[in-house]
Amino acid sequence: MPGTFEGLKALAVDDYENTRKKLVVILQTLGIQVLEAANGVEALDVLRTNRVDIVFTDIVMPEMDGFELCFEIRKIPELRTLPIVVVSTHVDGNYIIKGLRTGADDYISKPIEQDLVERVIARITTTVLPAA
Amino acid sequence: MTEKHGQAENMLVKLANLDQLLTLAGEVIITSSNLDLTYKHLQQLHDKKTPVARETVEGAKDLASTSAIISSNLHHLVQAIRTVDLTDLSFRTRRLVRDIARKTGKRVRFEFEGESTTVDKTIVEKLYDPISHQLRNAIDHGIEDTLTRQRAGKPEEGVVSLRASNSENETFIEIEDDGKGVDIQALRQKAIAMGIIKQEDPFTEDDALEIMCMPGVSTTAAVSEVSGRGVGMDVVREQITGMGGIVTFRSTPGKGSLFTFRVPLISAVNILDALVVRSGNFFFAFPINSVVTTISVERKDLHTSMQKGEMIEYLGHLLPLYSLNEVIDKGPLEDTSGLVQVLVVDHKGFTIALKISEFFSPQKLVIIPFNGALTVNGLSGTTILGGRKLGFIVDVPSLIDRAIGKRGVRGLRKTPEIGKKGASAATVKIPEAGEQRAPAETETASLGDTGGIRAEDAAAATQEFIVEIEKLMPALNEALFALESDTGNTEHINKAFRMYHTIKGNFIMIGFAKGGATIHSVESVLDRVRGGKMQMSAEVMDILMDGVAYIEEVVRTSKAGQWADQPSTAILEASAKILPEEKPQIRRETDVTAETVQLSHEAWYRANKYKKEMIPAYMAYIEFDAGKQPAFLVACLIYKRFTEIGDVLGTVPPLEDIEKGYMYGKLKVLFASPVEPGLLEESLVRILTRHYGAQAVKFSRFE
Repeated sequence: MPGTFEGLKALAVDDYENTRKKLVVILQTLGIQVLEAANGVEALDVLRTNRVDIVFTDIVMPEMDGFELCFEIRKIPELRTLPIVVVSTHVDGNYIIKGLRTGADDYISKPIEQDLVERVIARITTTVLPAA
Repeated sequence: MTEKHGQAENMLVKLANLDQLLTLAGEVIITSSNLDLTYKHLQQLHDKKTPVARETVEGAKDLASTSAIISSNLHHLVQAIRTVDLTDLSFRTRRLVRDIARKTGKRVRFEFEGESTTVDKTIVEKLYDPISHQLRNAIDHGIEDTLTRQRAGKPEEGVVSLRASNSENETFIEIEDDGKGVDIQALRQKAIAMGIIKQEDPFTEDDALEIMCMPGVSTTAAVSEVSGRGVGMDVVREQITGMGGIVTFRSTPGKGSLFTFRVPLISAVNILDALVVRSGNFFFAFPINSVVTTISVERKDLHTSMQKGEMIEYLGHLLPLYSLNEVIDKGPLEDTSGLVQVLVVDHKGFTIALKISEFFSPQKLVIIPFNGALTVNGLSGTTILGGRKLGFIVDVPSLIDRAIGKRGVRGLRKTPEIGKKGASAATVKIPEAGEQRAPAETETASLGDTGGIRAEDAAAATQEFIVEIEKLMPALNEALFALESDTGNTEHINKAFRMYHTIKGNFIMIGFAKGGATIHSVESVLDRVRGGKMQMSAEVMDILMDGVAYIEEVVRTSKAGQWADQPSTAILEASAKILPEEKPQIRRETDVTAETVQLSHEAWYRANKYKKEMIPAYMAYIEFDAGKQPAFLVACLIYKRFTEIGDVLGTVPPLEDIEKGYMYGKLKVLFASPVEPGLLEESLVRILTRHYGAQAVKFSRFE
């Protein structure tokens, strides 16, 4: 259901342009506006100056990796509830758990597939109780 | 592998070179339209029978020189584009030496000099095989074992060096070792035993090389795993001569050997710098590389002897003099003037002089090679000379063979009989060489299946990712070699880890699951190292290096469209050996419906508190389908959802088991919540079914 997420702004963080572009295209197909960053440091810069609704981040990156990025984001009071999705080729459970523990809200494995991205965004942007 | 034709080869080209190419193309267009104008102008003059004006001639002359400059620039540029430096070769050889040293159990230091030497891409590829053979020989047969070296008073660590350099028209590859040297006396005895030379004949290093190059000759008694017996020098030389090059060697007993490959720089491009001569009614082009000099000699200064025929003196040597026309059966040359025009040519140290009629200036010619069916001794192809005249390209090696064959053996060589045998051996099919190539061919026998995607799309996508991987290789190689000399450097470890990680991702993207799994195991090893859970060791380094070799193999064969997704069992086994055993993912499935939630002391305390405060507790039982995500992940996320609206007191399976991966899509959650029960149930059921693949949610009050 493309178009459902219109108005959302996402940040895609991956040092590897190839996979980052793939994610960007998927997000744009879903009507989401996308900002990009090549590592955690750049991502924090973007977050300081832009309102972002959801972050997709790779784990393995130079400068600052995905775990560190989650950790740093959660230290900023305004971003404590910013949804973060870890995107990685790691299918190792330890990585996933480590991601969740450092503050990530969900996890998507590579290669990235559009239906999973949709599902994750839908899930992450819904609250349990309907807004009062 | 590199010899196959017709495969989709590609290379990375510098953008600056392409820009320059575009500029040149523009100049060609301009020149061509100017030429058109000049032609039209001349046509007009001709039609009106007007004499040609000076300016018109000047204009045409300018055009001619402009176009000469452009074609020369184009030629150089194309050569430059085809040119790569030897960084890649250096990485490959360094890994190879490491690997051979490991297999032979010898301690070897490898030095590579001249990485910045630039060589035509196809030449670099062709050079790898002979170089790798020679490095094997140097380590396996040259470098002694540690004990022998100690006894000989040498440093325990052997040194093998590879030096690359370019001269004006040749690439030099020197491979030197400080091992025991070649046993020339043994080779001499062999030659005597084979009846090739007599006891009293002199025996030089060149002659020794000829003996070494005879199939089946080896100075080592034992057949080793690395270089075998008798495989090597003949194959090496065949490959180098196949590129128009030569092999020479020097050796000092006890001190080591030095093998030199000399390969012409431009043998890959069909444009030849040539010296054109006329001989009788024919025009011949000699590759400028093989021309030593041109001289005019007074007929009376020719030496003649009954035995050896005509000779001329050149730099203190007597060179045999042949008539070019006679050598290639084009009839005798008119012998009139007092001056004889002589061309001196050389190949592989054979130097002969040729009588011809007239010299022209050196020029660039486009070669039209004779096709395979047509073999003409002494000639390799034709070319179109100025004035649309046909010229023959002279094949200097076979011309020299022919000349020497025609009038018996003589010249500068001391033991030419050996040379002739060696030369003929080079064209014979050598069984060992065939055996060596066989595995590579069976490996590439089947094409990988590409699933349901259209074959050409899949192939294009694969190429794209393969090129991406190829771009990463130099950096990965660099990181690994830096790591090898500085094993504790976390920056190198992290860099290598990231590279492997990205490459694994690329493999997975193009459906090389087994390739991905192989690299994953390399990555896991590195991950432990960077996490401080494992020390850098020789075993780790081996795995990292083998990983690169594996990736390069995948890249090479994929580019040829011949890669079938194969894991590297060597890498998988080696890493399994040093990685801790994976925790068994399958534990006996607990019966979630039957089992009760185990409350910790602390949770028990909280439960009692809620009871007192009249906050109700609930038990939720959920069956869900995690879809494309791991079940344990979805279970964790569901758990988190419950924490948003209440306090989770416990789960089945317990959280720590879920986190270990023991999760099969069934989950019980005991929690307390102040939210109104109807709303609570409805909200939870809605969100779990809609977003978490829940197929059944049972909800009950818990007392």
